[in-house]
Amino acid sequence: MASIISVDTLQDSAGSNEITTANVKTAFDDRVKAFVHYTDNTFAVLKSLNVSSQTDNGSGDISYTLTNAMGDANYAALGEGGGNLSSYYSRIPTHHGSTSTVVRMRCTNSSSYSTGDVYRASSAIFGDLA
Amino acid sequence: MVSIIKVTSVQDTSGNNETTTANIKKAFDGAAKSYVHFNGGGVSGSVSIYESSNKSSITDNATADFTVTATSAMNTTQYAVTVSANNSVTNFAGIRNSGATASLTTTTERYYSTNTGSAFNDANFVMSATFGDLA
Repeated sequence: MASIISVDTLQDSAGSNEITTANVKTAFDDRVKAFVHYTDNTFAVLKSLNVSSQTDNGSGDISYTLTNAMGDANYAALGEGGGNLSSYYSRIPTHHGSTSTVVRMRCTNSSSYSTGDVYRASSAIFGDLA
Repeated sequence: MVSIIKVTSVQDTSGNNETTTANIKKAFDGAAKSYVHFNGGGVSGSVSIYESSNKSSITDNATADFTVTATSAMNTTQYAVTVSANNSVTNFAGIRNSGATASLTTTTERYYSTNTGSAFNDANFVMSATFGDLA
């Protein structure tokens, strides 16, 4: 049987670090649901959460698969990428082609705006898990 | 009357999943205080929210010019916002802020989307997350 404590606010034993139960729920609901940091040139994942695998769809076109699916495809997906420091930066429009289980990212270079691999890229998603 | 429990750590009834009260507060402090994914008009011509938390509305100020309003305000205008956007597979979009014009208030964020040539252009998808302290 689950045990439940009904309380409005938590504090540590010194009376500090106060937080309401409502904000505890907000922290859970609005936390990042998945993130990934990878190198596109070698396609190695450096750090990730809730990511089971990644797919190289082509130059600058990658997707990563979630271990735990989102409730639908309407989640917010953010991404940034870095290119060669000496010549250009990259930016990553995300989400086109994404599903509840696959987040798709496409990288461009800033000089030609053509799709291209980046040196490193990060992405994080927010929304409701299934 | 508000009830308060003073406790160092919380764990489940099996003695697992222990976390300190201090870390619970840190989790809230570092959580996104709002996020939104909306159609910037590039899909259907009308701006609409796909999914959001702590966002009450979006105003379409002009082509590629959006103001997003939060339900619960931030405590200052110094909070962090990350934004991504795109149009289609082959027509990428960027985001730029309003430059000299203040783009953040405690309750609103203003974004401008661009096409690949950096001209203002309605985006299909605009996504943002906001980090900082609520009022």
